[in-house]
Amino acid sequence: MRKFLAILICRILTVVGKLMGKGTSLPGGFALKVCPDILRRIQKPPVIIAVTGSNGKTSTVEMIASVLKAGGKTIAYNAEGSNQIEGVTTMILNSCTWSGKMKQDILLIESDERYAKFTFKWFHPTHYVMTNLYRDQLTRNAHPEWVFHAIEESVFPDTKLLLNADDPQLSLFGQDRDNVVWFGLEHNQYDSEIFHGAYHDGAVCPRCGKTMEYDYYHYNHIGKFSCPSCGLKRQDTAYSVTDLNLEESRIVINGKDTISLAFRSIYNIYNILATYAVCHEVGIPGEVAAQVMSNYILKNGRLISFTLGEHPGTFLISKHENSVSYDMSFRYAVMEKKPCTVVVIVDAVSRKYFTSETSWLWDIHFDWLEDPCVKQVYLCGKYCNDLALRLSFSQVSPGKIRVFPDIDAACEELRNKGSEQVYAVTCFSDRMKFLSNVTVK
Amino acid sequence: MKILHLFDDLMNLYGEYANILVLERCLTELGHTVELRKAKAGEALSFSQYDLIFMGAGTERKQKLALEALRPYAGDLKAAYEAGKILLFTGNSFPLLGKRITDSNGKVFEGLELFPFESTEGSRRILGDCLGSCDLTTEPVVGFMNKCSKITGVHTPLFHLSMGFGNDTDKGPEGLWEKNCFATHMTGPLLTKNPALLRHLLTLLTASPVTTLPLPHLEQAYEVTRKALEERKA
Repeated sequence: MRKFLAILICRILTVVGKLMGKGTSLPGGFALKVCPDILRRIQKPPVIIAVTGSNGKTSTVEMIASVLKAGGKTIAYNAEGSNQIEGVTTMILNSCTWSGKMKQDILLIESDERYAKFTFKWFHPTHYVMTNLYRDQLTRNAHPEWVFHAIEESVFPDTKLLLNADDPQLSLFGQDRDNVVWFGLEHNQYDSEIFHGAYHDGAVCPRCGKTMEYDYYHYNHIGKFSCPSCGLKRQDTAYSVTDLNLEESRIVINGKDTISLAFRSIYNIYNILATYAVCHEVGIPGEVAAQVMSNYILKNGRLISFTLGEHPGTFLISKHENSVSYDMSFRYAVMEKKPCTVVVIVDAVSRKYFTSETSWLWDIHFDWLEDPCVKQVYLCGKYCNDLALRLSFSQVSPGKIRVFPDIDAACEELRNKGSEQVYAVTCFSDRMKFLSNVTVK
Repeated sequence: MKILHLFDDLMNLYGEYANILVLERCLTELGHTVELRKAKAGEALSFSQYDLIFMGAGTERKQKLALEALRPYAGDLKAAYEAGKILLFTGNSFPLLGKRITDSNGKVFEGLELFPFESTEGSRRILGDCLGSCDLTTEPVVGFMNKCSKITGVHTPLFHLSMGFGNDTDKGPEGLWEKNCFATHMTGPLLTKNPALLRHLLTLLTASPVTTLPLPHLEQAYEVTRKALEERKA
């Protein structure tokens, strides 16, 4: 009876919420109050895929859903990214029958890395994909080891783990464990033997604390690592990007399936690889995954094309409080080798909560912007002075830098001057403050 | 001018290295030659030759590694402190200076015992923006608290917070100030966020009053953050 009541309440509140334009967490939250063990009571599909990690969860889940559907599977998943237990409950209760049975083939869950333990207290995923562990929103997440321990509480022996082999901290989950599947990038021409980044989270071994060694880095601390002291090392992968050509926008997985890239970022490649891996594990042929993901445009589009006056422009969505996402955007901008102006905006650190914390700016590798193709760097928004202070300790020449507290004024100046490529780099929270000044294509 | 940055590879969270960057830049602009040593855990240490010794914040696990690396030199560090050397310990390097640390599993780690305070870690994170006052300066101090421990037994705090969690109470006394030892859980990084504290340390280091900083953006950034926090508090 309580189960039925919880389902009923969830569905009524979902309808009401939709009319009022509210989020998808609240209905599940109420249902959990009515029936706290509702997630255990629902009869779930035989395959349950969960995805967690610092970056790439939403993109990966979106691609997994598309591939599974193309492979003929019926699925239920939290498409709107409400990834804590309340949002997951809403999705499940809206996807089951009135008697509490899910008839889909597969349940697919994006799970918040810190709160996965609350969801998976009630049921365990059959397949658990972990994308990476970076410094992300440290004002809430503390640090990656803290997040590691939070995820640890959501990992159970009966779950098959799909792990990014190139991430040393994450690789600890797969130690002394049989049911683990590794994925990663093979050595490629974009690798570096030198570390690039403002901080090195792979400098010391996550297991024993002694100095680690790297054969090469794919980016930041992601690469082929080994610890001479305790023997922790990058594991051989079952799913690998065996060929990578960013200029031609394509990758090859396991030497046979070629995928064309809509977005030429190494970041995105890991999401594609994780998708390929988990879909293959649940019986979708590699060629189906490759076909679906070729030229796949993500809904939460990390790339937006625009014009500003005579300038062609590309908006690169990054995340505040997430230095790797900024590093990736800068790397993308300089990789294109077009003479350009880069606009960086930090106005509201978060759209969800208040903070004036800007220490994450010191974690960003702004030195990318000293590339000769970058002609100017505009630093804009409320925290432009923090940005300017940070850049005064980077390799970027002071002569390139313009500082604008007012984002509109910066756009106005650019509109009336020049025709070079513009890259705008900022977070969802500050996106419209820039896009309202330009013509989106 | 000699500066020792302890374990920059281990205790590398929250941009803490920038405390040393701004000190180094200002001292250089003031005409001093700065010799900076970044010491890794396990390297031989002696403190008497340095004018300033700094350590920043790290994860709880790395904090314990730093503690073990420093333990053989606890006496030497205490001697440096007693000789009036400047010690700047920010984030969770602060608890190392106390008598003991108890982690969230109840495991006890003996501290370096420069001071008699104790630190107890919990499984909940204490997070939030901070605003407070400091007896060293007339300007409010700003920063961020990102810790999982409470500290008891400090009699001479560095800050009095009006926003944020102090040593063991909300909006309470925070940090420790004895002689030239400045320890705080507050990050920011502290000296990039607080021009008055930076001026104070420079004055101490150079033994002459430093009233202006060669970092105009630092002063402006401070004003923006201070206003934002004061509005938030109101």
